[in-house]
Amino acid sequence: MTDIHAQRILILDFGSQYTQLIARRVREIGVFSEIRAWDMDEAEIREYNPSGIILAGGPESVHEANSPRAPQAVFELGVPVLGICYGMQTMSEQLGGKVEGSDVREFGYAQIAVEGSSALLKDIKDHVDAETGKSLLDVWMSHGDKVTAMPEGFELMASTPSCPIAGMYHAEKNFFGVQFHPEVTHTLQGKRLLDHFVLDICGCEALWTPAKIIEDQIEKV
Amino acid sequence: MLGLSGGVDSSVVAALLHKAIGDQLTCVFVDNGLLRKNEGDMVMDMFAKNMGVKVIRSDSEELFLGKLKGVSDPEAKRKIIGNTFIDVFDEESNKLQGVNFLAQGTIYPDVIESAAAKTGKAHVIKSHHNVGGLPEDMKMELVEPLRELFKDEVRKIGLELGLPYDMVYRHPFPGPGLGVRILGEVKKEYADVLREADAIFIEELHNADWYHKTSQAFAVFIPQKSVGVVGDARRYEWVIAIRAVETVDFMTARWAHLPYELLEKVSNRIINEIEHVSRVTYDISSKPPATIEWE
Repeated sequence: MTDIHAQRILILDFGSQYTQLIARRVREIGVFSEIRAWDMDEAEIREYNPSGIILAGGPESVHEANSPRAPQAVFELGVPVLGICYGMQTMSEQLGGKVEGSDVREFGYAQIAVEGSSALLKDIKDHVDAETGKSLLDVWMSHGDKVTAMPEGFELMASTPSCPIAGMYHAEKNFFGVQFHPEVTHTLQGKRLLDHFVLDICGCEALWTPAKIIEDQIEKV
Repeated sequence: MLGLSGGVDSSVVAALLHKAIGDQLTCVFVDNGLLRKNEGDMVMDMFAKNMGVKVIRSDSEELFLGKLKGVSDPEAKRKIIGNTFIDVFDEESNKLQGVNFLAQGTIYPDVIESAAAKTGKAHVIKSHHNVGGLPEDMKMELVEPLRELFKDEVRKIGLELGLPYDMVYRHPFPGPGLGVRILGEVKKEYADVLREADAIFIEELHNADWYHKTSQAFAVFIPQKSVGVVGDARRYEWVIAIRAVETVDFMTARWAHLPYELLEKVSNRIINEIEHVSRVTYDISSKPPATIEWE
């Protein structure tokens, strides 16, 4: 019988109110996901053997003393990692990039221009900019700090006038960072972005369905 | 062994376990006299008759109402109902032989919230209510088949297992039941009146296609008499309040703007069909600053 838990996405919680939404979106895609606190034990992470890791957002600022960091193992496991909001900032901070505070908070609707050719944003666009020909996406932002210098090896994936690095990616390692929130409904194509990450990039199969869940539990019982 | 309440979570566990182990499952359904009209029979029909699940029905109306006699404080009422439930459950389980496992309808949000409570990362902690806690001397292993699932996943599983849509998508019902929908002291005559009023309200909501547009809807018994006039004669009977809310997010709720025709029909039916009701009033308080339930 197929093990519907074998492929799974680990979501590390940094305190965002949207963290549960991420887990639910992944489940809706048909893949098992689980939420753990950001300070999950490194050995436990290795044992968990995730197919992919999502670093969720949170209310902190990387500059504050004792602000949370992702366990280093996250970046050494060789699995794809998606950092959302604070997740992107700590990814940047931990891999040698730069994060700066800002007096300007971007809260609510924003429009990002897609840059580069990442697997995450491939073929996703809401509009096309008539002047530049770039794809534009309607997203939901909620942040004060922002990444001002990407870590080495990363390329630009998305930008807005007030947030020049709104998305970044490392093609080889499959690390992705987005300043916006793909898990909320206001990011119109957020689900497709997550589809790309979970199904294409992490290579998971959609096994987490009601029928299979029932089969699995009955077996367990 | 599983405590069956008639709510979604325990119903789905019952259906799932029945499919897995058939008559190795025994459900205990405690009728505390504070359930809605025909609810006890409906639970028995669904699970015992329809699905062939082994259900022991404990008719404990007298016991519960006896313990609630003279008690008006809402918190006290809740405690008494919770504790009495444990006693009854405990008694029933002692009668059963060879019970090694206790099944519970714990779901994933409960797990997340308890874990957060342990590490102190959450700001708001909702305590995982497993029927007020199990007696320590119950030496059974815990089986929680739904603990990895979110509520909407539980509902989808419920449908997949063949439970009816109406049961799976029912509004939430408080543990203490009508005990907190009768203001002040709980008496059987009040509960009987309230059951009838609530049934009429829910029926008309369904008829007007409004049931699933609201998140919760119910009647409240107000132990206060008011004057009415029927057939030129004076009446002096109880007052019923009806309550319906829509959830905007999970933290705020707005009183439902039910159509006037619907409110009129409900009011009319309740006052005409129930002898001991003189008047119906509609609760137009949102949460916050009020709460959804009255107690």
